[in-house]
Amino acid sequence: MESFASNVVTGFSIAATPANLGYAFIGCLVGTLIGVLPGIGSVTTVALLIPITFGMNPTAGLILMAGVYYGAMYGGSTTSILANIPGESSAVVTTLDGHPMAKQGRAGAALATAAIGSFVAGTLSTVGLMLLAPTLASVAIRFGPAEYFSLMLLGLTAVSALGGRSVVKALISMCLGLLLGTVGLDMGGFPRFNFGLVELYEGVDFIIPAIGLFALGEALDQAAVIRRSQLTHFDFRGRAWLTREEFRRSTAPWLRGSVLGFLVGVLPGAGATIASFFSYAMERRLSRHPEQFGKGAIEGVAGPEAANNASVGGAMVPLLTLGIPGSGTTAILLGAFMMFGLQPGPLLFQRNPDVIWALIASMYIGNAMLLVLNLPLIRLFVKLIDVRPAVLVAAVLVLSTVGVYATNGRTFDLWLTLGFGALGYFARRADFPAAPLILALVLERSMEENFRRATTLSDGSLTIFLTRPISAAILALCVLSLFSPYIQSWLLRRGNARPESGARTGT
Amino acid sequence: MLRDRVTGLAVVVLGVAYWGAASALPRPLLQQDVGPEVFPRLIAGGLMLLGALLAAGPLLRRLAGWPAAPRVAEAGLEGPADVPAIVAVLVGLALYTAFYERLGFVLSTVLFMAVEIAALEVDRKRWIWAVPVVILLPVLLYLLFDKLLGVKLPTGLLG
Repeated sequence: MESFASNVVTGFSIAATPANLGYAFIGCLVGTLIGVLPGIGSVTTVALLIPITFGMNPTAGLILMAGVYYGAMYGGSTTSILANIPGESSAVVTTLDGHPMAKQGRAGAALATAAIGSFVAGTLSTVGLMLLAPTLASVAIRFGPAEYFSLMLLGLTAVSALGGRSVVKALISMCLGLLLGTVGLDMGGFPRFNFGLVELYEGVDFIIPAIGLFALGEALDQAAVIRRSQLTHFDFRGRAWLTREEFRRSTAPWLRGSVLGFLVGVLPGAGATIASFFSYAMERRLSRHPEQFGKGAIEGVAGPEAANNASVGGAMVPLLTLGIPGSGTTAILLGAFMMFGLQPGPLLFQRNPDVIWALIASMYIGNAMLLVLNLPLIRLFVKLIDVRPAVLVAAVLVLSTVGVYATNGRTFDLWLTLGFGALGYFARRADFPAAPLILALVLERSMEENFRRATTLSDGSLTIFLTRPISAAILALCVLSLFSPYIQSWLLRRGNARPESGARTGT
Repeated sequence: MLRDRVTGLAVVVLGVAYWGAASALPRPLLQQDVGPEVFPRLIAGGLMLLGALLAAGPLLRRLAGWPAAPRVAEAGLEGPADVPAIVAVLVGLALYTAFYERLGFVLSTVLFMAVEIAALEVDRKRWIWAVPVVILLPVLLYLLFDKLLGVKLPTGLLG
C-alpha cells in the first residue's frame, strides 16, 4: 500500500504542473460549454478532440479529453434545468424536477444542487477509482487470452444490450464494427478485405467512423429538425446557491447518487444515463414526499446529477484496468490511448503508472475547478443556449472535416467519413445505435489476437472458452447481459409504479 | 415492419458475402490451427443469424417474448425528417470535399459554412450575424492546425 501512496503523490505532482493544470482547465471549460449546447454530446466532442491531441504528449492529451468528458456531464444539467432540453441523454432525468424548479423561480437552487452534487460525486468516484482500479488490475493480470476474449465480448454485448432500443439491431451494429476491424493487415501480416485499395491497407482508422457516425450523425440529426424547431430565449438572473434547508435535503441524495453512479459506471454497458434513471427512482422511493417528484423536488435533481457524474469515474475502472470501454465515449478514449501507443489493461499500471495516476489526479483537480468555475460563470454559460443552431451545425461539420483531414492528410478519408455520416444518420433513424460499432471496431484487433492465441493453445478447438472456468463465467454473463433489458425495465417499472409503498420503507 | 425486413435480408446477404471473402483468403504457408479466416467467419455467422432474426422480427419476438429495450430519449430524433435540409448538408459536404484541396482549406470552408448557414437558418435577419463566425472560424482553425499543431492543411488558391 505504500506504493499506492507514492503513486498518488506522483500523480498529483504531474497533474499539478502548470501545463497540465491548464489542459485540465481547458478540458473542463470546453466540456461544460459543449454540455450546455443542446444537441452536441460528449462523444462528439471527445471524437473531435482526438486529431487535436495527436501531437501532444499522452498525459496532456488524456487529461484534456477526460476533462471534456466529465465537464460535459455537468454542463448538460444547465440546459435541462433552464430550457427543459437535455443536452445529453444522461441529463434527461434532470429535466423532470429541474425544469419545474426553474419555472417556480428556483433555478438557482437547482443549478447549485447540480453543481455541488457533481463535485461531491466526481470527487467520491475518483477516490473509488483510486481504490478499485489497482485491485482489479492485480486480479486481471492473471487472465489469459481466453479470459480476455470473453471479457471483451462481455463489454460488447453489454453495450449492445443496454445502449439501444433493439438488442438485435445493436448486435448487428456490433458485428459491422467487428467486420470493419478485420479490414487491413491481419496479425500474420496479410492484407485482408481491403478491396486492393492502398488507403485501406492498414485498416480503417477508428477516428473516421467515430467522427462520421457521432459528429456528422449528430449534425445531421440537428439539421433534420432545425428549420421547424421552436427557438426559445432563456435568461437566468439571481444567484446559484442553496438555502440551509435545501442543502440539508440534498446531502443524502448526493451521497447515495455518488455511490450508485460509481457502481453502475463500473458495470459494462450501463453508463451515465442508466445511473441517473436508477438514482431518480431510488430517491423517489426513499422520499417522504414522493408526490413532490416531477413538480420540483430538489432530491430529484441532486441524486441523478450526482449519479451521472459519478458514473464517469466508475467507467474509468474497466477502461484502465481491463482495456474494456463501457460506452461510446470511453471507446473513443480507448482509441486515444492506443493512438498514443498505450494499451490500457493491467500492464498499463506497471508500465505507465505516471500516465494513469496523473490522469486520475487531474480528474480530482478538475472536479474542484468545475465547482469554482461553474457557479459564478453560470450566467455566461446560459448565453450559449442562444447560439444559433444553424451556425452550430455548420461549425460541427467543419470541425469534423478538418479533424479527419489532419489525421492522415488525404481526401479519401473525408469521403469515407461522409459515407459513415450518411450511414449513421439513416441507421439512427432506424434505431441502430452507433456506440456498439465503434466499440467493436476499437476492440477487434485485440479480440482477434486473443481469440487466435487462445485457440492455438487448445489446438484449434473453440471449447477452451468454456472449459476455463473464469472465461465460462464471463460468457455466462454475456448471455445474461443480453437479457438485461428485461431486468432494467422491470426495475424502472417498480420505481415508477410504487412510490407510496416506497415512502413507508424510506429512511 | 417492412424496413426491418429489408434491412435484415441485406445484413444476411452481407454476412454471406463476407463469409465468401473470408474463405477465399490465401492460407498462410505454415499451416496453423487458426488462420486469418476463422474470426471473420464467426462474425459472418453472427451477421447471418442476426439479419435473419431482424427480418423475422415481429413473429419471433412474439414467440420468444423478446423485449423491446426501454426507450432512451434522444434529442433531434423526434418527428419526420426535413429532407431538403439533409440533402443540403450531404451534397454540401460532398462538394466541400471535392474542392477541399483545390480551393484550399480557408476558402472552401468559408464558402461551405456560408452555404450551409444560408440553407439551414430560417431567420434571414440572422444571416448578417453569422458573417464574423464564417470568416473567423476557418482562419482561426487554419492557424491552430498550421502554427500550433504543425498539421499542414491545403492552401489551394490562397497558397
